[in-house]
Formats: sequence, C-alpha cells, structure tokens
Amino acid sequence: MSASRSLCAALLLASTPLVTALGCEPEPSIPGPTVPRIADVDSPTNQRLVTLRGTKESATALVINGNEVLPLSEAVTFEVEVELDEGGNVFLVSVADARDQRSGAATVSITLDSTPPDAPSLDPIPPRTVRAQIAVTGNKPADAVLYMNGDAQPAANGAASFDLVHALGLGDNAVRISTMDALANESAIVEARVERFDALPFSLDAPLDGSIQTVSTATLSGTRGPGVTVLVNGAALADDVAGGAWTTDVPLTVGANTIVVGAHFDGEASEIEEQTITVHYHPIPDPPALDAAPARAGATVTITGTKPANTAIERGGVEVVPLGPETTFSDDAPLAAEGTNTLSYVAVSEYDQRSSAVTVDVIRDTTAPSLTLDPALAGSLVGDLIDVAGVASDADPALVVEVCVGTCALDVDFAPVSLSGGAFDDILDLAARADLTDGAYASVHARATDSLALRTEVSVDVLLSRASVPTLEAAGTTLALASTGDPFVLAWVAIETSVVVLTQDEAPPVGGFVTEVVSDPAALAIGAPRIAMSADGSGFVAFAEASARTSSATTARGVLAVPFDADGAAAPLVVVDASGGDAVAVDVALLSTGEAAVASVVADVVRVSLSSAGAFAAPVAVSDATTAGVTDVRVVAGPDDVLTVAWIETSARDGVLDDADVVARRFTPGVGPDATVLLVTATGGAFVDAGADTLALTALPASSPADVAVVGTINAGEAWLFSLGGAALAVSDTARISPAGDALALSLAPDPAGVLAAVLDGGALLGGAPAPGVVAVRGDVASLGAPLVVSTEASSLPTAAAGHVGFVDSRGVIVRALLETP
Amino acid sequence: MPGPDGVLLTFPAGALDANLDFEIERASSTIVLDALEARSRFYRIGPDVPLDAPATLSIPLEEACPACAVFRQASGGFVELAVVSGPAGAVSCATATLGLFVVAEESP
Repeated sequence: MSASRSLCAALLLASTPLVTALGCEPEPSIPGPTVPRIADVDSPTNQRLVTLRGTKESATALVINGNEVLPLSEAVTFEVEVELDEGGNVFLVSVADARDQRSGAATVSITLDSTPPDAPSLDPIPPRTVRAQIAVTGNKPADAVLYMNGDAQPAANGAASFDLVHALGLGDNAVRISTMDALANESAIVEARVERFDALPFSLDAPLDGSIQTVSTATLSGTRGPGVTVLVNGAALADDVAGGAWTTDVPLTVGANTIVVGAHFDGEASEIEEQTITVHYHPIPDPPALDAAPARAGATVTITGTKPANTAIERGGVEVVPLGPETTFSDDAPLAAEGTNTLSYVAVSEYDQRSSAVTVDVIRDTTAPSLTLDPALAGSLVGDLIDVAGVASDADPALVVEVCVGTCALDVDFAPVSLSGGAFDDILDLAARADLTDGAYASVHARATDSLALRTEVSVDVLLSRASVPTLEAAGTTLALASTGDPFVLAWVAIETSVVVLTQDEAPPVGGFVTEVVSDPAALAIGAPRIAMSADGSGFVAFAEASARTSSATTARGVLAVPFDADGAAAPLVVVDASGGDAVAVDVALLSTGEAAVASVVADVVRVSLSSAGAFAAPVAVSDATTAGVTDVRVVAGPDDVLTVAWIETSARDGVLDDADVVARRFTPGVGPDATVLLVTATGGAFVDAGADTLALTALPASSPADVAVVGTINAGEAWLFSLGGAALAVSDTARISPAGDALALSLAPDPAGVLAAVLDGGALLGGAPAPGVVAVRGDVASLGAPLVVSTEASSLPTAAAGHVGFVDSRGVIVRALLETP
Repeated sequence: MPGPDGVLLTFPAGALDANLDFEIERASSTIVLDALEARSRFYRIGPDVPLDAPATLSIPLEEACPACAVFRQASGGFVELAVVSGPAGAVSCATATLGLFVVAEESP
C-alpha cells in the first residue's frame, strides 16, 4: 500500500472530511465489505452501557452479533451503545453492504463487573467518647481499597483488616467506611456515629470527701450523661441509657472508708475517670444500759451498767468513764441536792459521737428520820406491858421504827412497830425478859431507820414495877403519900376494892417500888385513904370501906386502918370504927409514940380514934353541936402530940349561911378536945365550899412562931392557907385554879421553917392551855415563894408528905416531887 | 463528556483556552455530608481548574427528586449549585469549578 492509500485508508477509518479532500476513492468493488475497526473499549468495566466506536466502510450497515444496529449508511464511522450483561460480553461487529454482503466480524470482548466488593466490617465504636481520636478497626476484602469518610485509606491496602485512627471533632462524628474495587464498585457503607465530649458528663455530688456520717451506709449520688457507666469501687452501676441522676449505697466500716467512683462512656472502659473520696463512718453508739439503781442514796450513788465497747461515759456532759474497750462501767455519782436527782448518761464513741441519753432518778436522802417518844413515857412506872408511843417521819417511805427495852446491844433486840400516819403505839410485853430487874429503871429505846440506814435513836428511862403493880387507873384512884424523907416514899393507892402500898426503897433512877396489896378480898368500895408515917418508915394507913365487917350493911362505910412497919410490911387490918355508920372522910396522924390518931366523919360528927398497941379505942367526937354538913377532915399531930383536927362544915358558924367554913379543934390524947372549936376561915369569908373543896392540913414545928398548924383550902378558884389564929394567905391567884376538881396538899418543906403547898392547877400558869398540872409554892405562913411547876401531867388528887408532894398522873403512874430549897 | 453512571459534563464553547483531559470518576460514598442527604454517588471531576465559562454537569438519578440539587465540595463544605435544565432523569447544574459533586437534598 502506497503512502497515500495508506492515508486514505486511515481517513476512511476515521470518516473525516479529509477523506474527500484528499481524493481518496473507494477501492474498486470487491466481494464483501471489510471488517469494521473498533476502537478500544475499557474492559472490564462497571458501566452497563458501553459505546462502541469504530470505522466501517461506507454504504454499509453495522451489524453486532448478527443484528443490524445501524442501518446502511454512507458513514464510515459509527458509535453505538451496547448494554452489557454482568460478566463477559462478546460482541461480533461486522458490516453489511447493500448487497447484504457482510464483512468479517471484529470481535469485541467486554467484561461487565458491577459487583461491589464486600462491605468492610467495623469493629464496635463507642457512641460517645472524650477522646480526640478513636481507633477504627475491622476487616475488609484484601483486594479492595478502604474508604473512610471519602478518603481512601491506603494503609489498609492489600490487607484483610484495617486499623485506622480517626480524629474526632467535638459533638457528633460520623465514621463511614466502605470498600471499593478497581472498577470503583463500592460496597455498602458501614457507618458508626461517635459523639465526642470535651469532658465526661458525670458528677459525684454526695457525699463530700472527708464527710462524716453516723449510719453504716453511704448513699452516693450524682449525675451522668447518657451512656455513662458509673463504677463504685469497681462495680458498675446499672446502665442508665438516658442518663440523669444516679445513686447507690455503699456499706461502710467503722472509721475511714475510701470510695473510688469511676465513670466512663459505655465501651470506653479504658478512658475511666476516677474520683476518690474518703467517708468516715462514726456510728452513734448505743446508749448505755443502766442497772437497777437504788431509789434512794446518800451523798453519792453508785450507778453501774453496760456500755458499748470503745466508748466513754458522760454524766451530765462530763466524762466519768474514759474511753475504753470495757463493756461495763461503774460511776460514783454525787447527788447534788436533797431530794430527787436525775442522772443522765450517754455513751461517747471514739469519734465523739454521742448516744441518746438514759436517765435515772435517785433521791438523795441524807436526813435522818425524826423520832420522838411520847414524853409521858419518860420516868413513868411501868409493868410488863409498856405502851410505847411516839411519832416518826422521814421522806423515805420505807421507814422502819423499832423499839427495845433494856440493853439492846444487838439489832435482834429491836422489834419493829407498826407505823400509821407517822405514829406508832405498840405494847411491849416484857414478861419473858428475865434480864430486866424489877424495880429498876430501864431504858426504852426507839430507833427510826430509813432504807439508807440513816437512823435516829431516842431513849427514855422508865421505872419497872413488873411483878404486881396494879393497873392504876385515873378514875377511882386515890393517892395518899407519905415519906420518911428523901429518898424513901410510901404511897398508898386505893383502887375501889383494894388498897395497895408501894414502897420506893431508893430514889430514882436507881430505886423502884415494891408493891403489896394490903386490903383483903372482903374489902368493898374503898374510900379515900390517908397515910401517916414516922421517920423510921413505919405508920398507918386509914381508909373507909363499905363491907360487912365494918357495918351491918355493906353500903355503909366503916373506918379501917393498916399499920405497917419500917420495911413497908403491913400488919393485919384493924377496924377503927365498925359502928360508925357511913364514914365520908378519914385521916390519920402518927403520934410520937408510934400510935395513930384516926379522924373520921360519921353522920356529920368528926371523931378521933386513938390506937394503942394496935387496937383503936372508941372514937371521941371533936366536933360540937354546931357542926353540920361535914365533907372532909384532916388531922395532924403537932408538938407534944397535940392533935389539930380540921374539917369543912356548912354550919353557918360564922353567920353566913351560903358558904362552908373550915373549923378546927385541938385534941390532946388522953385529955380530949379543947373547949372551943376554932373558926379557921372566920377572917376569910367565903373561902370554902363544902363537898367541892378539899382540905389540907399540916402541923408546924414547935419552933414556928406562927402557930401549930396551917390549914389550906381550895375555893372559888383560889388556894388559901390559913394559920390557926392567923390571917389568910393566898397560895395562888384566881387564874391558876380550876373552879372544881382541883386539889391542895400541904407538907412541911425540908426547911423546917417552910410550908410546902402543892396545887393541882388547871390554869394558865402551865402555859396558857387549860391542861392540868401541879404547881407548888413554898415558904412560911407569912410569905410564900413564886409558884413552881412540878409537873405538867394531868393528875389525880395530890397528897403530901413532909417535903414531898405526890400524885398519880393521867396514866396512873405515881409521880412525886421534892421541892428543893430555892 | 460522559462520565460513569451517565454523568455528563458539557463544556460550552470557550470554556477552556487549552485542551485538557478531564476525568470523571466515582468517589467514595463515605464522604460525610453535613445536613444533606445524598441521592447520588459522589463524582470527582478533575483536574480542578477554573473554567472560563461554566460547564453543565448532569447527574442522573434512579429516582426522581424534585428537591434535589447538585452540591459541590468547597472549603467550608458542600455548596449547593443552581439547578439548570438538562437531560431528563438527571439533576443538572452549571459550574465554573470542577471537583467533587453529588446530588443531594437537605436532610429532613
């Protein structure tokens, strides 16, 4: 082929206009067209439609795979689009001329590869992170190129896995990866989204680091963002997808507890943020348990109890038991004030935590009970049965009062008595007490003891007359008293049907009484006895008795006498005047010879009977014809045994009809009465009431300048003394003497010049209250001393012996008094 | 000039003052769009040279998308290009700058 032909042929293939310009002519007709020429096409390709371009002879149609795809045309170039099937495609491209002669076929093979590679697998990526970059790892087809967010990742080329680093911006980040083959077939996209935070959305709000709490569980709380895992001491809390508040309880041990709280985004465990806090658990200790405390105590009380280990004990805010492991404690607590003291205890832990308080009330009682015995008991004469009475009081209701008589050295000697309203009144029976000496003084002890052993003891002495002391009753008891001088006293007591002699052989407190009943069983209705005693202690007792031996009728009183010796031993009864009828008053006086003169009042006649060798002579009347209405009689022997007999009569001897008078008559034994009856109260006027008044009489010693006798009366609230032939002398004023029921006793005082006058006084002299007592005065007949209170006891009729007054108190106890020289 | 998947880039006369070979190629669909929803593949057309006159780029869609437009990657992200008339079934735009293109619509 020439060069021009060659050019023409090329132009023809290119179907350019230059073909004509160059004068290229078609080849002369030859059988069949030539094979078209096909420009190169990409194969393999991922484009389903591919354009085949080429040249062909003019006046030919283009036939592909036997199908005419371009009609006969003059065009020498062609361009036809073919659709590929996936995989290999073979196109036989030929041309056909007008004579349908076909050229040979040009073969075009094209492979369609539109299948994308397998998508990469992406390892899990945490959806949230604080990291600035994350690892993107996974697997992929080894022959595929990995793309991430639009960029090829050549580092992963040729590998079946990838390990990339992807930088994150704050906020939402997309991680999109795919694989792409050489034909730009791209796999499905695998996308993950990551939200980057500049800080972990997490807080630990409570408790604060270093906080102290008293419960054994710490409640931790805070907030967290979505997807944040919270770990407390390495243990993850339950997921909270939405985030928000979180809380959890952590058990605590006593003391410091370290708590590590971590947080990270889910899947970001390696990026944990941790906070370490210390929470102190200082538990409140249990309160102490107090043992039963005494209800009462002295200045201190010992409180014991149990407490938690490792605690101290405070009482009233003051530590009283130091911190220690012991579980028991003891506290000697002072009690500040008398009365109820409330003690408050708390346990204090080593961490200064205080328990609740427990309290105990203790009564401080340092006051001994008060105790008094009935004052009447002191010095009283008692038998085997002692009435011990008194009052006791104490704030302690457990007060115990005990009494004992005698030595009482041991507690067992004391016997409790019953208390009622603070008073006690028990009878002690001493019958079995052989240790108590009859007739001696003994101490009655009483003691009041409270529950704290605070004790008050009192004691009084009583005179024991255990064997035969009759029960002296105030009613119907009459006392006569005589004395040989201090300390010897004889007392005669008439108790309706009997007469008892009490001999006191020694003065109190050593002495006691010896008792003897001197009347006999035949005695009835004993009348007021009188006694007369000599200096040696012998004498007579005279009394009235209503009995058959004294009268034919037992209702009439005769007069009897009992002589007794110096030892008090009584001789048999002597009937003085059995025929005298109804004796209303009796008195007896001793003569210097030892004989007795008994004065009596029988049928308004005052008579005197004189004894001789134990027998009484017939009575001699000493009253005269004027005498009438006699109510009492007294007889006393003066110097030379001259008797003075005084009596009360209502004869109106003084010319005054409405009052009684005291009259007297001297009687000389062996001679008889004086010639005249003396009107003693002639100058005193209305000083005597018959019946209601009493009469007292004493003889004065021979040396007395005044007279041989003194008469005393009680009248109209006054006591009076009269010396025979002398003026009246007031013993008391009107305020001191009760109008009725009082009595008067006269005796010689130890001072021979004096007269002792004792008055049973119910007036104000004893302190204003109208309680009766005994008041005495002393002095001579012209001048008496100031009144002396002898006794504040209510008394029966007093009587007197020389230098003494005596009386029976309200309990029937004989009391005597010796008025000392002022 | 045709591109893969029926992409067509048409230069007007005078768009270039010299002959250049352009290439239209698929780009990875892993490119992240901000507030856009891709409706086509990404196509990278290069070289990225300024054109004297805007060329028309048509990107065919498999499904009609009336709200779609062609977006071109710029320095601050993808920018929307005004839609111009073009082949049926494609979204066309005029662009004087070549680079990375995609048909997208705003994310709902």
